Amino acid sequence: MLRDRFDLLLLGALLLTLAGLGVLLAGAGAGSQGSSAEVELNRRLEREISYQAKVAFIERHYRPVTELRDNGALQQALLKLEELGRTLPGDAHNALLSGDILLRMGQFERALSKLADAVRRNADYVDQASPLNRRDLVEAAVNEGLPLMRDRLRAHPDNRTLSAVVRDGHYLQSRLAGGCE
Amino acid sequence: MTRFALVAALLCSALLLGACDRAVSGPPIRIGYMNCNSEEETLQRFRPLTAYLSQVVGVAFETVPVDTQDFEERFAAGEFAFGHSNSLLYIILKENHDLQLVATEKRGNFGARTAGAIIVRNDSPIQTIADLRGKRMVFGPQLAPSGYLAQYDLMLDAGFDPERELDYYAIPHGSFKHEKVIYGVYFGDFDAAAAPVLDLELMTRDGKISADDFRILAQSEIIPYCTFGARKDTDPELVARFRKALMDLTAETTVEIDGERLKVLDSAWIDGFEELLDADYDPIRAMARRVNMPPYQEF
Repeated sequence: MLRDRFDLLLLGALLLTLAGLGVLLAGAGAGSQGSSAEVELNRRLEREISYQAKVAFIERHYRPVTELRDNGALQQALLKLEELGRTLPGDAHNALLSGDILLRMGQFERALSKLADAVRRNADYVDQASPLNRRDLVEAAVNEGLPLMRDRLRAHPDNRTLSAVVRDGHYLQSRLAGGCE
Repeated sequence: MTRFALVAALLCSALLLGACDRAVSGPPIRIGYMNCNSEEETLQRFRPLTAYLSQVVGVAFETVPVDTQDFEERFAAGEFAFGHSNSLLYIILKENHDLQLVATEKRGNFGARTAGAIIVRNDSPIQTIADLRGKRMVFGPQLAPSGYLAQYDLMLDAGFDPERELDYYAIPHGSFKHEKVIYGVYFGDFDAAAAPVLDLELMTRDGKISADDFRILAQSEIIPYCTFGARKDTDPELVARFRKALMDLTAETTVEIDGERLKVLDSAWIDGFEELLDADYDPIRAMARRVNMPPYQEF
């Protein structure tokens, strides 16, 4: 089979090429494993940075509202939200803060509707793991407001306004329990 | 055969869609709308709503602009069967003429409700209602629940008699009275104003004022806003259809007026309608009693 030195030389070169290819393939496999872990890490970092930026933005943008709210100037805080709504119309956090303030004003119907609107736009508000989590607020609105609205609806079963509010309350209740949209 | 089935399906769909709007019939039923600023504005705002109601309820309705001060007299004279007015007029008509509650208009943060506020400029030294002694104040029109009644009641409740303790108070003339009241304080002509919270909201939303321009000295309880009512002898089935048509309105509902297709709620400056209960109006009744205003006024 191996008749002369030339054949031996050819065989050696072939084995050397195969070994080189093996080394290359093994290296590429290890590299691709490394890069997929890196992609996942980058994705997590991006998500974390985006959350941090969002939280920082919300804190900065809505600080005048939360300060007024915390000082008990509730109506003034609502007016400030109107003003901020001009820059960011339809922002879920505007609806969330409106719901919070309306709840403090004892306006359960409006608070439930506003909070349901906020959660429909951004489910993070009922996600325990999210930095935007406001389950405490949503729970308070559901616990205080929903029984009152249910009682009113029981007394006036044909009232479409009350049934819409109770629907919003049930939606929030289901999201708190971990239900999907 | 397939072509015949297609044509039949299209005809059926057209018939079903057409059935959504009833054929308008009979003599017109008049709806009295309280003027906020002028007859012209009332017609412009409410003609699309009236046209929509005619189309959906299947009855020819007519828009009748009515001055606030004439509203009760014209209602009593039978000039209109349905009325759209502020919530104090609703109570007056309910008390004196047994008006039926149909639906309440939604506008602003509190939906079908609003409140009255006493405002001062942010840089004003006035901190409490008592500090208003000897100051100049501007109120909205006398029959305005959130532009006069609520603030007058807040002052009486704080032991402050506006008639004796203010240096002077005024009510602006002409249209856009509530905006004039707010601008009266903004430009320093008055020390304080009786401002409807809804107007503060709308002017802030429109960028006419900033939330930081004013301080709220006191704010009333939250009370129902403008209200649709029906005469007590109106066919209950018609009232139910009228209410349903109002409740079915969405931001996308349109109607054709003078060859133009308009959004009904946008044209009327309304967000929608809610079904309140007559008992929801009790806080206004209590205010009117305390302030000695109609329908409970005693001389």
